[in-house]
Amino acid sequence: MDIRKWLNKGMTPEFKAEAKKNKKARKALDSSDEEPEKENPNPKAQAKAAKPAVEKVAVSPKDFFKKKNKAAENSKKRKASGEAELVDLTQAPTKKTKVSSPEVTKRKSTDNESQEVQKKESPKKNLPKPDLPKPVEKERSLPNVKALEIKKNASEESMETEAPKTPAEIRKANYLKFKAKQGAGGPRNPGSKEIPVGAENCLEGLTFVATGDGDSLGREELKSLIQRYGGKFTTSVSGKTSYVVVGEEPGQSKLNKAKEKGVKLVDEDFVLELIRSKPAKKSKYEIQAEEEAKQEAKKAKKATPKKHVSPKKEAKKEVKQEAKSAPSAPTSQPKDENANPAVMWVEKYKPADMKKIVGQNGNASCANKLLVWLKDWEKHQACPKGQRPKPKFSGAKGAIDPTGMTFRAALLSGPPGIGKTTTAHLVAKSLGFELIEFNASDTRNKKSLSSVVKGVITNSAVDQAFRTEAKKVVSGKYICIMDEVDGMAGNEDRGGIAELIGLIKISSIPIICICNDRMHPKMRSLANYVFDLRFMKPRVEQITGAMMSICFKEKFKIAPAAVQEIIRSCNQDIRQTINTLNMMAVNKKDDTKVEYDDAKSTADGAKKDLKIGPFDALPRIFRIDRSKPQPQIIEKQELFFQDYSLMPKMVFENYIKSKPASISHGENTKHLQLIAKSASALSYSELAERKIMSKQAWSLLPTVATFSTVIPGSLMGGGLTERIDFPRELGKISTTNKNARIADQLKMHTRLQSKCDRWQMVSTHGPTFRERLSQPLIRQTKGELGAGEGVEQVLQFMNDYSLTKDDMDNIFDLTQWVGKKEPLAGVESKVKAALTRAYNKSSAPVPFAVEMKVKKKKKTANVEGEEDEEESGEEDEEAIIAAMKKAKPAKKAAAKKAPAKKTAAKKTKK
Amino acid sequence: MSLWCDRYRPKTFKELDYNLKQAKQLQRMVKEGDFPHLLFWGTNGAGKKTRINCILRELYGSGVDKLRLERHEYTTASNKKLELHACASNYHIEICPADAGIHDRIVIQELVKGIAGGQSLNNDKQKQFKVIVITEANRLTKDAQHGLRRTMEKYMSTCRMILLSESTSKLIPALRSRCLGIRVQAPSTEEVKQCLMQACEIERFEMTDEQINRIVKLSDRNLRKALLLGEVCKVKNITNGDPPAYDWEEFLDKTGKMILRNQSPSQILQVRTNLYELIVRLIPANIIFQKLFLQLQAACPDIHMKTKLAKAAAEFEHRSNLGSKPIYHLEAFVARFMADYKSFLDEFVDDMDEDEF
Repeated sequence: MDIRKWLNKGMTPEFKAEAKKNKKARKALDSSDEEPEKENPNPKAQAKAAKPAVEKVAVSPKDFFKKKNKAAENSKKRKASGEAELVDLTQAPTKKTKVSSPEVTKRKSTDNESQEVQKKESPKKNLPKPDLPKPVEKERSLPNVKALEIKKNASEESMETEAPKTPAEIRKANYLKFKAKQGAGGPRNPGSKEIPVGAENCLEGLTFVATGDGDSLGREELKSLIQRYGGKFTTSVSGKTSYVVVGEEPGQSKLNKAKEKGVKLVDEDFVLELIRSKPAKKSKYEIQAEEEAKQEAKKAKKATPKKHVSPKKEAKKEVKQEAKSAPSAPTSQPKDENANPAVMWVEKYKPADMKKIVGQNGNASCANKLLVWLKDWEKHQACPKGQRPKPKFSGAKGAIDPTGMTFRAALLSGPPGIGKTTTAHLVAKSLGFELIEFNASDTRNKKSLSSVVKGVITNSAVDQAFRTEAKKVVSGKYICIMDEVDGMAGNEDRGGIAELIGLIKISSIPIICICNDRMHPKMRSLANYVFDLRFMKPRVEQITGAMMSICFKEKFKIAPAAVQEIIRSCNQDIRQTINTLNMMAVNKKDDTKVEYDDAKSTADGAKKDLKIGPFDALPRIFRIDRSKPQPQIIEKQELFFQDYSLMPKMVFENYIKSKPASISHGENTKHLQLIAKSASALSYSELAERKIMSKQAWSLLPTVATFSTVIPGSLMGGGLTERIDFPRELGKISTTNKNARIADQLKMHTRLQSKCDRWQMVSTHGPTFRERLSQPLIRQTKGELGAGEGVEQVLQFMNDYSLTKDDMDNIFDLTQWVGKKEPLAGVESKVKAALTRAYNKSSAPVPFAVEMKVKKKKKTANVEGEEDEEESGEEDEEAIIAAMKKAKPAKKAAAKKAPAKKTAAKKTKK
Repeated sequence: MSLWCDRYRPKTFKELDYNLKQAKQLQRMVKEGDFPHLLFWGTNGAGKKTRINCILRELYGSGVDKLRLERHEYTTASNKKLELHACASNYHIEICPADAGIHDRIVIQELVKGIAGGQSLNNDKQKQFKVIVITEANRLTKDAQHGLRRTMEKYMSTCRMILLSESTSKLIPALRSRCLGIRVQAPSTEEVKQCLMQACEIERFEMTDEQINRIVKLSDRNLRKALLLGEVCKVKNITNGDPPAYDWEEFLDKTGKMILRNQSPSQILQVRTNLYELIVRLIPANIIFQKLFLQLQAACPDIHMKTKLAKAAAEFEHRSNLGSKPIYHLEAFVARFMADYKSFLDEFVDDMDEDEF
């Protein structure tokens, strides 16, 4: 009874309104005589309902109410579209999400879906899709596409009737669809169709694009299926696309584009049929590799009478032939590789000539640009400064210099394993330069650079003097390669970059710098002095050719699709790919061919080792992979260990933004319960973290992983709906520390008069100080106090409590809350100025003398701060570097925001 | 013109206004000449420090009022040089090792030991020992408290320690057993009112009885707060009306209302922003828990709901004491309450409908 009283008295108006609305809705429902659709809320009932006979199940009135609501919605939709099937289609995914807990992943068997169960039993019968008849004819050459043309027309029609008018509306509609799909995606009837075993490589040369959810195959499955048979699977429609595989709720833009380009629209049955019917094909890569070997063998025959020649030797021969134009082509490799089988493939098949570098063949390639730049270097840069070419400027674009002739050094950047170092070496060799190489294994600090490198770079003549006459002719040209310049970090290499820039300015020989991360803050200063050449990852196809050729030479039998899978798993890193292949070849005992599936398992193993950033890991934590059993503890733990210090913070910052897949729309209470559980788990993880830090109990790390990542990820799993934010926690901690320091300082300054602790300073003293310091000034401005009287009162107060002007500002800062008026808001600037003047004049003695010291430290600290920014990751309690910290969080925040934005931008692009 | 609470702070036992019986006992104890280590505990604004000052005054005379700031340097384990300020007279030193954060153990080991172990002052007219006052003892880490144990016993002959803490629960039992615990009871509302009226009289500031009552009620038996509020009223010249609430209290109140107004995921995110703000402004987590709990339980009509809330508050406050980042536990508390409250409201509406139809 008292509940009711309370309700009438204390309920908020919003809540009342909501309750009223609900009542009205219910009344409306009761009056309508629509038979509600059956839906069973609890798992037990579901089990019962699996029997087809079950019609009536006891349902609590609450659930009944919900059902009615849904029924009303359904009926509305039905009226609108007039097609029951359409409604079914749209309902299907949402129903799936209603599964209440991970254990109960079996589908609910509503009336509707019990039909599907029947269908499952006879997959051959196919789904009753009135608008999408199955291709009937099974001709040997190609399945009939006519039926699909019909489908295309149908979809076009529906497009015309349903499509909103303006592009903005279309975009909105697409976005809503995308939103709806998030967390609820996946095939409708996974595994309902038999996957045929096709002939090898039968899909080669065909390119597929998928849109919408397939009926039985998920996107990933379809992709892997197509790739298994040598087909290509891309994400966007282009002129080269052979087929667009249309599923349920296809993306409008893809359909439009397909129509525009005249690409055939097919469904997944067609793909399966294609696999079933197409004849095997010999992979073009295999053919290519064989031809190459043949040609080489021919050449070898011509050159030497020997019968058996190693392929490596062949390659070398080629080099010599092709490199004739160059003054010298040193061959440093050991002569007979076959005698030494332990040579790694990576070394053995290192490109010995520029044409062999994967993905660097074209005119516009980085290798060619580098070649041109280096060729003309002497012409442009070896002369006195005044005669060097000057950059041309054109308006907003700044300097235009495609050949890099104004630069004295080049910077090659790109991910590892794609041949940057190799390119640099080969280009230098082909132009006859002698190499001086420095890499991360050499100490490269200011001192060593200037003493060792400078000597070499600035005068090559010394070396010349000691050479014999014959050798002098060979070369007089040197080139300096600074490899791994982004590794010039830490205490060892202090000042290295600055020195390198200095060297570039005075060098008499060209310098090539190589780095991985072009956007690294350390590279920023260097970037202004170098010809920027960015290496891109080669495409999978480009690498495949070279890899197949190696495998053929090594007599290692492997399917091209398998090679491609390995390349993808290595993230297009050529070096790693070769290593993986090498290991596979070594481990393989028999002479069988490596097929797609073997490679896939190896590749999946390799993928695990791939390092992913926190912004990529986070969506994975909140993703539910339906093809695998839940909950995926190990997978999610792995993600935690990508960065064990940052991941809990990332999860805490973002877990609320994930929409759990296990709840359906409107189940707010359930949603909140999930959040509460996750929050509690996170709070436990914090306790474990604390234990790790205070007691060095690192064995607790898996506990932290479970509480911070696995549990929230499983409970809230479904997909993030908002932008991922970088944890605010770090910034907040440093602000808290700053405020604590301020409070402690105030406490110390006022200690002789007023004994309060930190909490009192914040809660009671601080606000009173604030009033005592501001009110007299306000009243003086208002005229309630005589001229100068307010200033005098404030000054007197400050003297009494030994407050400095800084303290005054600190008090105002500390007690300023959001949405509150500034303490000196109503004070005339005249009065403020008078106070400052009076304060400066008064110079009352204070019982402490720390101010100056702090300031001094601040200055020196700042100078150092520029150098080792990355060391500032930890928060330290040190009071002295206080001032420095003020500046640092800002810097840190800026630096961290940048990658955050990047990933966000990437996502939108996708 | 210093603050009222400082200006009218009693300096001797005679000037004390309340807890007079205890004052007499203390006075007698000091007159005996020797006393054990003391542990003063009690809520904020109860007069702990005032009583300590009275003891010192009784012991050493007016010399203890000549205070100076002393700067002490100490080196941490990682070779960092930090400094700590202490407030000292010739006879005693008041120090807050907790200011050193996690380095407080070193402060205890190096500084306190140094001071305690030092020679006593000239014996003729003074006591044989000096007094070390350790404030905010409840903030000391466990390590520091253990470091203090031995020091307390070893230097008994040369010094006495007086520990100051809000409650004894955060002190290890070993320390508690070494000290004579003295609980300073907070003044009754009547006593607070008397003190406040006295101060107003001296200040010649007239407030209506109603307003004084309001301030007293607002101060919650915290005499310091009452005096400071009274002073703010004077500065702002409010003679009849509500004394201005502190901004942080207002903010906390607003946060509580946010939790009650709407329970949704996005609301949790907004509450988090507010909680961050409170933490950044150095409002301790236990205060946030306490105030939120009081506010939320007042809005809960149902005894079951109240128990649930109390359980959650106790659980997460405990966790927040164990942990180091209060935001995690505060948010978990808020989320738990929101979930419970929402489901409670849902059921409630269902019940109501059944009655009506």
